[in-house]
Amino acid sequence: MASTKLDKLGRYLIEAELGRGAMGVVYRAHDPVLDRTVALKTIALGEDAQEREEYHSRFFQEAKAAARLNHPALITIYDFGEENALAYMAMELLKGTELSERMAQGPIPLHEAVAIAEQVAEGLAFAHDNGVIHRDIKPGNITLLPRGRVKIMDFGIARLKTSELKTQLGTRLGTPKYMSPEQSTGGTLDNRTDIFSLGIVLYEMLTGGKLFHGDSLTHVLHNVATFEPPPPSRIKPEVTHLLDLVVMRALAKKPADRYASAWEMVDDLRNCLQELAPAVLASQGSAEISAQKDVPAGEATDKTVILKPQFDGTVSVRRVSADADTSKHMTLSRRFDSTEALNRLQSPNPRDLQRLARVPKAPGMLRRLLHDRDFAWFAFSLILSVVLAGALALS
Amino acid sequence: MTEAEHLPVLSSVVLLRICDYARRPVAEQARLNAQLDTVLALLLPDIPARTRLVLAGNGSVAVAVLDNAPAALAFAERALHAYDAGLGLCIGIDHGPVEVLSNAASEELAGDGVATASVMAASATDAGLRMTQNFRTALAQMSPGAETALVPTVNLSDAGLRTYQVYGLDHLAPRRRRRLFMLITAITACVLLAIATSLRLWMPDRPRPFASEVVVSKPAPHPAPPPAERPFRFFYGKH
Repeated sequence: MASTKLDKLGRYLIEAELGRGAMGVVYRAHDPVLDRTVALKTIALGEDAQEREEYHSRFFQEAKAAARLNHPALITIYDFGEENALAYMAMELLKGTELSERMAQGPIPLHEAVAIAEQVAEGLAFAHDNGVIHRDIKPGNITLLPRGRVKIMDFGIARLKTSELKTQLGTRLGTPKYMSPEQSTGGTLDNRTDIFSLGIVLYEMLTGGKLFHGDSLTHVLHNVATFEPPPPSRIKPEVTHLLDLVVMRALAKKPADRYASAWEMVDDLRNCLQELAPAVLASQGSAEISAQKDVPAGEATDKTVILKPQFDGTVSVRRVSADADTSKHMTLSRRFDSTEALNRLQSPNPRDLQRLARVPKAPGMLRRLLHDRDFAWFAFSLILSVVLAGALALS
Repeated sequence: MTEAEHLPVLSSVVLLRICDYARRPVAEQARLNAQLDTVLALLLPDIPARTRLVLAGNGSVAVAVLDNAPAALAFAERALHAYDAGLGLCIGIDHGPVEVLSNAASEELAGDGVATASVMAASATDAGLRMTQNFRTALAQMSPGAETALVPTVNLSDAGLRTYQVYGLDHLAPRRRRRLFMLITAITACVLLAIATSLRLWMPDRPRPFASEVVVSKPAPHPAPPPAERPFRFFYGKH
């Protein structure tokens, strides 16, 4: 990571520092040749020669692939290069808000969350069609632009970051929460890993809470691999059934059970948007009416912003922490009543105590004779044969 | 999550999973889920409310039947008929330990019973029913003879390397058993009767514990009949 102040990198004149990460620093820089302002992302290639060579080849390979991508939902990469053991990537400078910041501010309306996910899914589908997998989809890598547009960032360096994580176990827990199960277990990755990560982002946008959490990296990764989350509608009832299905399909543990292509997810999310449209229009209409009747428009807007989230994220965290093997449980249905049986288990009578906990064993001969009609006839016939034969022989 | 004050029990868990659920479009998934709800609404009243817990999952439903394995099997058999309405269900049944866990958001049923039923359902093909040895034993205990309809199909190892003997449903198996019983009975009876008859024929001096002890005196010989008078005869010719 660059520790000294830089004035120039390649042909770019550095103007200000925009942010720092584990891998490097992001600057605002000026390109004097094309006379435009760019975001310059630097990545320290490391001091070890072997490591540096590996980073170097992978960085340029990924950067080339990412630079080929030209889509409204993907950040445009202008240039990349290396100078003084510092790789850099010049990309368009975005003036927007990171999705993580937006999520921290408060709940995202349903239709807005779906619209964001739909744009991200479309961007990912385009990237996948061009042979690029992002590998690090998370709210911090999604930027919200004015007029509802969305950009996915950090294409081309995701693989480097994943590699970096392997050397920094236990020191950074940000990204593992958005990893797919196969990613967390070191399996083979394909485009479906991005679909899982997008599923997590969508889940968190819909519910307002964190999906996979843990006290340590190992715990987080374990939960990613094993925890079966409840449908979002359990946490936020206004989530539609169709949206539930989309999220749960994206979050399937087995890649084969997920969407095979991000385009399929795009189609389903568009259907969800259509389904949500009447509700959105109705809510907008009622909001407008109430705004006209009661309060000024500005205050009405404030009201929508300060809505409290209906989900306490700590609930999910506790559930994850307590379950050693989460694949062994299912949630009680809310459509069908189980109250009587639950009451029976909660306050069992002495007979229940004896009957409900007994280990099954094969029935004895007498019980079989009494209850198994075929067996009883068989036994009776045999006995009768013996008696008759005996009588015949001995009389 | 905290454990509630619920009794951990052994119950028969019937897990109904929509076949090929993950590979269907979401709109079709929604339709199939609605169909599955209808099937449950129709069939659940057959199981007494105090003996069943209904669990929901994504594209699957489980019913934990307490202390009534025959009812669980009957429910599963009837659910298979949903295939006629276009709803293919892969059904797995296990009889194993389960426990209700409660937290602020919801109540869950956890335990090997649920996990093993899920493994069985995963091994079932379209509109198929798979059961474990434990369930077969529980069924035999509750309703001796009913377990004969469950016949071994395959051995299965799950991801945790546990091996299960998987049983399938064969309605002809009880009939075959009955025929086998009849055949054994007939052969046995024939053999025994043949032995008894041969004893009678070839061992006249055999012990006869059930023979009558009364000595029958020999009847007095009948007196020789008096010679009949020479009948009159006609002779044709010389004497």
